[in-house]
Amino acid sequence: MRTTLGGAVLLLAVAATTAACGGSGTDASPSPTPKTSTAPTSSAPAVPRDQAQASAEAMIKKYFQVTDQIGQDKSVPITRLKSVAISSELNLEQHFFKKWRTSGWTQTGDTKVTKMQVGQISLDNSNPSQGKVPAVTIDVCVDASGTKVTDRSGKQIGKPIPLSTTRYIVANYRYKQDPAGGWRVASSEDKADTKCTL
Amino acid sequence: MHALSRVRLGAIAVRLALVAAVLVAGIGGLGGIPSANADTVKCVKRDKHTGICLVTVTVPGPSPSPNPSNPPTGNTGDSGQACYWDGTSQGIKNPPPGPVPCQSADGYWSNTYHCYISPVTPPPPAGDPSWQGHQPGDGAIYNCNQPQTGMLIMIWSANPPAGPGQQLTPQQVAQIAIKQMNMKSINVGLAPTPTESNPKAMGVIGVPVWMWVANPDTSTYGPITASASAGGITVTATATVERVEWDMGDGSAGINCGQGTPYNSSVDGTKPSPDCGYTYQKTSWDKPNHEYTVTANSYWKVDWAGAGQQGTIRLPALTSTVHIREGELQVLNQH
Repeated sequence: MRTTLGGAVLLLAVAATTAACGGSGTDASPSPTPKTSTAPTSSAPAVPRDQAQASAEAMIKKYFQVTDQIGQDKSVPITRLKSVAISSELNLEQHFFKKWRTSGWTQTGDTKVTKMQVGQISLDNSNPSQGKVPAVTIDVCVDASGTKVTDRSGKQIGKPIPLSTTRYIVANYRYKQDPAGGWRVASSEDKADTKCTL
Repeated sequence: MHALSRVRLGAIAVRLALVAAVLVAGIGGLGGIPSANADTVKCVKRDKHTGICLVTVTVPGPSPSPNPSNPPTGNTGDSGQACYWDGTSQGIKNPPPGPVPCQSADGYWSNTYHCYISPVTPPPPAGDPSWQGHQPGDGAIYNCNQPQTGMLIMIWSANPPAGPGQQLTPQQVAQIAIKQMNMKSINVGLAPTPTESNPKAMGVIGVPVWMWVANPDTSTYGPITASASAGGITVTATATVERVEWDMGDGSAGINCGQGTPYNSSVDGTKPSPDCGYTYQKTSWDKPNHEYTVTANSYWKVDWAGAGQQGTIRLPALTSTVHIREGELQVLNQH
């Protein structure tokens, strides 16, 4: 997949000139990307691909809702992450929140997803046990300016980043059993883009 | 958004990257992670809510391949713990190097990666940066959990990283350092002169024999210091001769000495050595070639330190052999 990222980026650039960017400061529109913005890797029919894209976008929104809840309310179990994350993303998030709670940090305010740009969609489900699973790559612009993190004494920890872009891979390891509801965030990686020029 | 991400290792050779990924700087309250060398570290992930750098990477040079297959043999002292933390190569001085449990809830300890290893289950999908450009099925992704810094990263490895029983101990790394030292047996100093130097030389029973280490240098008497790096750890070892045991060849018990005192011809030959001497009571007439075989066994002690541990290795003796002839002085009365 890495070898196709160049192509994906190119297509994303094209998409950026054609897709509506939203920019409302609220949650992203569910389908800002035209079909031409994706890099097909299989000959799957359009309907499963649309379904995968819609499911992945919905999961991104849910992902931020859940992570906000866990950050804001220490009574929310960290295990709730399993409803939105899997694989390395789940491991990292669990690890992070354990540290977060050990340090007595609490978040106020919600993280806003301002834009989403769907990139590559793969419906290759040839070997889920090895990671060959249906996956949707989404670049997500996040505005955390409305959030604040404080320690037990109420002292603010650092400063939130107003805008940042992260590339997520939303994957479905249970595609056979649950093609619509089995999607989870499996991977994330910061991008250098600090202005959300998706 | 709390995505803690993984370390992007780019085109760095994977094994190095894994070591490099042991990372870390300035995560503030998330465990007090110390800062690494700014010249070799960059932040690749920030917490969106605090702006704090969560993950940084540093790229150290390659570690020499471990080669413990043919270490020097001999008696050894402390072996050192098989599993140890040593963050100094990543600029992490706190916590200081030291042994760690080989197993934990986070997996098994890897000395190479300085973290607890466990496979990521299920593996990340294709395209996850942890794959380092590899396709799923080519190698595997592992959690690399470093409790010393509170960091967790994902690493790719073609094969499972070496674990307890498969990795070098500090003592084994010290053995590699010892192989570089090229220690030699002593040059024997002896009065009377050995027959190797003067075939006609002969001592007299009842007259003290002096023994010493002739022309001592670092290779024959020490100290020699050498360092070796392998398996993610550097050990420095210093070797010195702990004692020289002299076997005088007449069946008497060995004599333990230090460096000894060289005999000077200005000294009264009937005086014994102040610190390393012997006096034969019988001639060497009944010995092969009418000579005593004098053997000097030098015993080296090697003190090593690394990975927050230290120990001592005592090596088998290095042997030098010479021969001396001892005769009897007879007074003839002529009437």
